[in-house]
Amino acid sequence: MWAAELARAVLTGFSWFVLVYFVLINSSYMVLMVLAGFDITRQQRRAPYQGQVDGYANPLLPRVAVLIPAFNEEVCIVEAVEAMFAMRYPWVDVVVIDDGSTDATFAVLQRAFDLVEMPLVIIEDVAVLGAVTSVHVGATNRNLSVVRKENSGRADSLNVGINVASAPLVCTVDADSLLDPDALLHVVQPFLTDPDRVIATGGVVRLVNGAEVVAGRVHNVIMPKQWLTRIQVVEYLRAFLLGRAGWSKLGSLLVVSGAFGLFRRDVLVSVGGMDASTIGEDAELVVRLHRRMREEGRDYRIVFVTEPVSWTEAPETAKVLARQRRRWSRGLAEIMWKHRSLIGNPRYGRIGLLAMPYYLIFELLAPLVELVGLIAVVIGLALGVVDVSFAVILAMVAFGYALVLSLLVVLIEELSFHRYHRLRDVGIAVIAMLIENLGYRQLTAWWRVQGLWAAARGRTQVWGEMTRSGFHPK
Amino acid sequence: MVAIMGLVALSIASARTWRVCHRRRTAALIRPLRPVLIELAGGDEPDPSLVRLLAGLRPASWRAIRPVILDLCAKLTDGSAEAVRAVLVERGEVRQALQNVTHRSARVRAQAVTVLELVPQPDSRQALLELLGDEDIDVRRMAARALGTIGDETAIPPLIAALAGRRPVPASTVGHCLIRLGPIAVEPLVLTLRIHLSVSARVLAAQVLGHIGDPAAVPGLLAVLDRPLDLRYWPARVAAARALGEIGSPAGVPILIEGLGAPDPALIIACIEALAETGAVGAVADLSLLLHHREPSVAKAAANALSRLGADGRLELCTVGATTPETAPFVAEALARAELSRPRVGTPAHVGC
Repeated sequence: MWAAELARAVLTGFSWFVLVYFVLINSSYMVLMVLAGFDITRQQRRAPYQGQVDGYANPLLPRVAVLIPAFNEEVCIVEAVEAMFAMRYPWVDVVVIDDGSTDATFAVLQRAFDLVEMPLVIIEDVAVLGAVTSVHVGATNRNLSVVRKENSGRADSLNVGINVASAPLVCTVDADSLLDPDALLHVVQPFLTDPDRVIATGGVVRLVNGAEVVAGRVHNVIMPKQWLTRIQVVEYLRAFLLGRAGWSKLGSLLVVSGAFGLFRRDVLVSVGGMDASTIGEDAELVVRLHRRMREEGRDYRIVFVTEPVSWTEAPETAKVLARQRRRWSRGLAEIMWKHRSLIGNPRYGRIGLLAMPYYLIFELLAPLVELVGLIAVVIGLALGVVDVSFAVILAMVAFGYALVLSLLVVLIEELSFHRYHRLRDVGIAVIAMLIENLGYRQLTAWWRVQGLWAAARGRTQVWGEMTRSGFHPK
Repeated sequence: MVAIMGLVALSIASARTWRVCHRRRTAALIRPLRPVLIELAGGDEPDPSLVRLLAGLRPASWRAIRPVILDLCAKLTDGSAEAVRAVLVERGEVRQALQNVTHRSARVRAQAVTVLELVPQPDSRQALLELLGDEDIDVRRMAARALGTIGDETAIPPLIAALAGRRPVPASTVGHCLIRLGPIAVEPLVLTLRIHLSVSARVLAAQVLGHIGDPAAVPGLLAVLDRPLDLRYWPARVAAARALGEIGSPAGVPILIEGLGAPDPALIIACIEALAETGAVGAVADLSLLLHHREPSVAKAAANALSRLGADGRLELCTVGATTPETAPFVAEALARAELSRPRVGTPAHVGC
């Protein structure tokens, strides 16, 4: 009898906990969105006056080395490299790091760019694991370098790229990324405006699936055909237009996406480059930058710029998506563990007191709370412990509130960027938000929990292969 | 909750509808004016009646065509540009801009600066100078750019002064303006290099002098390089060395060679690269010694510089590379780069040893 009462009390209490949790998490998203909305609107209204138009002609623009780590990217690597050189930026070096590809990645590059071998002396400013086997440069375009090395992972490949690069700024992108033509001009602006303090900037990452790509440029943004990818489009909009912009406004940006980040090379070298032992090396780097800067008492800024876009491919199958989400979740867990001394530590200012605790409670643990909460509510309903009205309220808070936030993100996108020209695509986005809550969200929560479990067990993470469709002109 | 969702969905639909209608309305207003714009932009002596026609447009039509007019004004030259400027003056845009420089909205002030940049007036100079201290960084930046476009020599000291203070103008913007002003900025920049309190201002001055490329700047740059014990000049010395390389004057060679013995590897590398760009064959022996430098980046830079100093430099590279194995990798890279750089027609087939 007492056991039943205890179970009843636990279920009721946990249900209330889940309700409060979702109120808090969605309200925090609302705060981030309000901050992001103001910032995006401000940046958009100022765009005509911020000097990108003639900024291109400024001889004082810093040189940028674009680092592209590549593993089995034969499908899209040539287009990606061409797109980098097609950007409106006067001083660009491109360094492709072939991480021991087993396909024709190097062969397609060699054919496309007439590569010749160069006995380059690589000075190891940053320690690397995988040995470099050869370095090649373009015979006609000497701003292109292709480094072949033993397979040792993305992070280590980026470290090799940092060593090869000689430019003061390095830009990390994915091999499947296409940058908007003015992306570098936009993302470099904070470095020009505040050169002594800005150490890193990041731009928006959007999904290219379904879009029309011509000569390495995204011309017509269309919703993809698959619902799985359509939902991911909405997710990315929320994460970047809401999450990153909002956190940047608070001076607490914890993630600069590896698909599009710009860093001061000297600062990267001073912190030892990427951590090859973590799976989420891009986020781990930013946390480490925050940590080092605060420990050294340096005045610094890490900024998110809402205008420049990097277009990337999203997984189109559940299998690949699952692998990705497990990897992200595991990466976040590793970062939280590695930098646990920052959590709640006033020495690290907003990073320690706000961002890190937030990510721990509302990002890392969210899938666990969501899944267990769902199970608890279902059991509670079955046992009559949780009444239907409470379940409805919980559903409204968990899903309805989130849906309102997603709609507001679409509104912000519509008011600010209006990338989707067809009304039909906006309609698809709205439907995608609705059906996201009917299985997709629960499935990704389960995968994220698996990632947490893998992190807790300390299993070796394998990146796995991302099945590429390539950028096909329509 | 449903009502909120409905409201947001309605807002999305409204925003889209408004934007589509606005675009169509603007296109409809501009369409009949397109031949006028083409004629205005097409010749050196546009018909004055076109100016009157555009200046007399209804407010709605003017609002639609104004961005096109401003864009044209920025791109055209000679008679066509004068005609477009006349439209803006006739329309009262300049008068309005002079009033708007004190508007409470930063966006309006920035728009005003755009007009003043395109249609320089005697009155606008003072207004732009005051906007160098505006509370909004984009307005400050635009005011600096406008002063650079106008090409007013008297704006140089305020531009340089705007590098420091509570509301600075970004150095890259000031630098670009000064580069555009060209040789008239050399003397004030040399003064900045010598006496400005701000380190970053001195560094910028050196960078800009290098880009302007006027040999008149060489003595000032040498004076900075030639003060190894004066700590105030240390950060600017690297920039000064690079600037000397960009100018390429042989007068800088002796002091650049002295700079090869500096304790700072960044300064040594800057001097090495400057010597290579100047084509200082007389520095071959000194560069050769640096092939053994403890800093690999210095050795690498020295090897690359030698490969660019003609047959003498390459001979020295090959000799050192053959006799000291630890320098061989640097020599190999430098020679490979030189091979890649050579033109393919009418030159020796082989650059290496």
